[in-house]
Amino acid sequence: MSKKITFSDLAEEIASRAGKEKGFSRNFLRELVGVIESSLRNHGSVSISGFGKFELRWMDEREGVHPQTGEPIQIPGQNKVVFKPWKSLRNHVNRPYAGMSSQILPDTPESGSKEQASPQATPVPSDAPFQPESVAPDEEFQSSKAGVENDPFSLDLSAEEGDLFGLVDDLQESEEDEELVIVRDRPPFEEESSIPLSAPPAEAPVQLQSDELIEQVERAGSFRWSWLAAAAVMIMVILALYYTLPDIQRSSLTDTSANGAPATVEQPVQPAITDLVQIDVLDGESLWQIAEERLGNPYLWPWIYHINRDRLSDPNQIEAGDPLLIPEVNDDFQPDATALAETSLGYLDLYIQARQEQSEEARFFLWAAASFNPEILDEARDLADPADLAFAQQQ
Amino acid sequence: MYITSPAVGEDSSTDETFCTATETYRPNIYYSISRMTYSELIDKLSEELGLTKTETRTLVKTTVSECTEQLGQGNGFSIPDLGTFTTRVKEVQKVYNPHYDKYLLVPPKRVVEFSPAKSLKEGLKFSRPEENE
Repeated sequence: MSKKITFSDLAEEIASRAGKEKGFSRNFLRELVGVIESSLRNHGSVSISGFGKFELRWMDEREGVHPQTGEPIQIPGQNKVVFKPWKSLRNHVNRPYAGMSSQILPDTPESGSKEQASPQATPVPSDAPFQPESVAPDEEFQSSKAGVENDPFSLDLSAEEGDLFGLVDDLQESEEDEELVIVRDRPPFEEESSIPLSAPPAEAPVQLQSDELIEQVERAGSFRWSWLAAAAVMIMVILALYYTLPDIQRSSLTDTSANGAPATVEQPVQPAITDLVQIDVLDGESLWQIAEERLGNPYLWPWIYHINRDRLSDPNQIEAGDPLLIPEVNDDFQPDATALAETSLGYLDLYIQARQEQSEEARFFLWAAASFNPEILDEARDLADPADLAFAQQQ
Repeated sequence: MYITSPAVGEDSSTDETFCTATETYRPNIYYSISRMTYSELIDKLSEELGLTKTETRTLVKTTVSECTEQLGQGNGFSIPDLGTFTTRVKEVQKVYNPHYDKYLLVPPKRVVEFSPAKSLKEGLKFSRPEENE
């Protein structure tokens, strides 16, 4: 069942994959082990992206029994080396058994210790704890959902700079625009349906086989005018926004005459200062890991969150396959003023979000924002809680 | 959240010593997190091997994907001075969940197991990472 391959086989496989000779990969593995060993010694933990994390864990002194003589002995405290595989490795190894979920057995444990404790009470607690628990997550979910829905509104409450307001406006309108396109694209497909098409058009004929089809086509004809009109209005609105926005920003930025800050406030609207690349989130990745791999420094993860905050509701939950925009940097990238200011804006986003959720930790986000860019406190003066602001300035 | 309050709440008098570990920018709120990140590993490894970071990164990626594939096929392997990686199938278990007062049947599962090499274990037995920094 569990075969073992030898080290030289492994080294050979790696060498053939990497296009090097066997001695090279052997040497490489030896160096890798050396680095792992020395960093375990100096830092206590190493993580290898995509594979796992090696960690030292301190085991306290405990009592044991000598296996041969049976007499009690003291086992001294010592370190244990543990390996925690990444989620992607765990999933890959568990593939033969993937998709199986645990099953609740119907019988409640009558023979357990519970029965001895309170024989009559068994049916009651089995129901009683279940009910409130099943309600509580729902409430939490709703409240968190409400928080998400409130997010854009509170953003434009807090946006005296005007750019956030413009962003939200823009987003809503563009969403409407997409809906219009989607609804009105179907009927034209109908008219040209002599061409064999793939799934989405194939669904449509089933719905529209009767007179409805004619109605739909007629409606489509009439809609086309309104669609055109809507598009024209949209273009005008976008143009108007485009010309008015810079003025508003300039006026708002004259108060804070900071050299790094002006660039960063414009960043959310047109993130063109650094080039952005789109990547797909892989299984088991977090923003921390993405920042570590792509930006070379995991502590810059709020930067990615800041760029993608329109599509990420929770920075702790990103899903595999999600597209993410990340800044493109070269191999030995050192965080410059823009990167730090961007990261600090990301922390400000997190602060605003945490404050909506009435979180105790909110002030720490503000502090983190300030530690990346102290000037952000001047900008955040209006939207931050005075107590949090004082806390952030104190540190 | 990645920041926990104890990491933030303590005094920041020791942050200078913490920052000397690497040259990468690290704000003082993280001083108490002592960990070797992947990029630091790559930096160090590329220094040792005399290769560029990109080459080292691809090499590590190749190694990782090869190891993952072998483990995925159920093959174990051992790397000298590091340890042995094997897979093990956990059988179906019947566990009691006190919250629901029910027994659960937990499906079988294949897991990775690592047992450190003796030299690694003995060498690190009494090392104190926080002192070595």
